Amino acid sequence: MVDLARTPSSSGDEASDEALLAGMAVGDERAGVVFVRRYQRRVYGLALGIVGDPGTAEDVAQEAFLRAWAHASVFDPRRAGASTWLLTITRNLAIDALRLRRAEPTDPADVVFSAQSRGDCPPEEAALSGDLRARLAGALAQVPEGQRRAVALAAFYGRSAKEIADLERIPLGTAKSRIRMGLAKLRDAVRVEETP
Amino acid sequence: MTGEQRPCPDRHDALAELALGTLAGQERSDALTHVERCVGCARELAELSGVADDLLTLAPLASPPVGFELGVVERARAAGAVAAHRLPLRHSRRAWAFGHDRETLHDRAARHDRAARRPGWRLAAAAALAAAAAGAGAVLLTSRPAPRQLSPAAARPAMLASRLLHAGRVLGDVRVSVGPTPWLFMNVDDHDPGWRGQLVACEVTLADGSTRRLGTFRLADGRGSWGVPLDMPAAAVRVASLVSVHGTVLATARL
Ligand SMILES: [Zn+2]
Repeated sequence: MVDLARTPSSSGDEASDEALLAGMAVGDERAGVVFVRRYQRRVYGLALGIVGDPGTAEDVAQEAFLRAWAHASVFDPRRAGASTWLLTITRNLAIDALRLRRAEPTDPADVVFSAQSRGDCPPEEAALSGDLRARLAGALAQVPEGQRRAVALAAFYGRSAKEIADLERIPLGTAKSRIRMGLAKLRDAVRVEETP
Repeated sequence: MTGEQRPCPDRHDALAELALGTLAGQERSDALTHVERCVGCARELAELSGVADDLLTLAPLASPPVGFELGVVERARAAGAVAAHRLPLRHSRRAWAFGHDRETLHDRAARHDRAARRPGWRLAAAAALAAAAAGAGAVLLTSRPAPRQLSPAAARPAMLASRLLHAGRVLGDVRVSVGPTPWLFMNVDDHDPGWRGQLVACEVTLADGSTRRLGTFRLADGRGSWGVPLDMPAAAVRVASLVSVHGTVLATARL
């Protein structure tokens, strides 16, 4: 139970994600507003990157926050960070919306690469670890084009290996190995640098 | 440390796809079964899943339209201060404990009139009523996000709402409008993966104990919404059931 009025910052802006979610779980609207403000650019940005249409992206982003809000009481910080959890919800909703419209994904590089060159991690989202993002982005840039596309199609658009094979006009086995090798390279890059 | 437990070489492809959430069907259940027993593969999956999740933070930031946060709050209020919002995730029972088994949503809509701008069920109701006006029969409503062109004010029928339960788990809800032309809506938001793509039926048990099949619809991508005009008084419906086409009751809602 969190009483935001008694936290050092009366606006709740400095409350942790976990504290905000605890407040939201008991219907604290102010906690909800702070949480939405903290993540709205990231959630809307991800939704927009996937669905490509501002109106649909807004619907998806609002729905993502509503779901996070309604499930705030069962959020388990041991399993994932709040931002990861929220972005996963967003991605799944965006993929659903995309499939409903039967839209083909835009170039997967669009989602990832427009972000890469910018160091666009606002200070209020320090919890997202701009450092990790930078390392991941750097690693992604090193991954061969085909593998990068395969990983992006799966990670952002929920495309199966079969669908990637069809889209890229490559054999299924090639699609599978591109997904595996691309993701493994990213993992290796992050893991190596995490070792003290 | 049990550090040198390596993942099985023949599972590498499946683990990557599992981590990215794109494995389905038999491949998925095979991989999950294996991971439960294999420490090396379980560790690999955990690492890859972390990377897959972190990738989502690489999407560019973008500012939503002005008023976005208020929209979220209004929708949360309209959903019954969040607690009664329908959700497809697993452990929603606690959230629902704040709600009511049975209530007249019209009352709540009146209380939160301004706030209740875009609840999904009302748009579904509006779509259904529009279809009724056009002379259509049952309508299948799988559209989400809801169609934007519908006026939320188009339909404000009083509604009875009840949770659709399967073994104590909330799978969706059933709503019955109690106007002069009663409708029944069944929303399935969280169903067993084994039901994916299944044709299902909606049946009702009436006050006199008789059972009627109202129609069938197909579950797609984890959900399905369906509505039908009732040729009986809404009050006559005691139980609405989601039934497999073979007659197995999958979930029920008590009205
Ligand atoms: Zn193994």
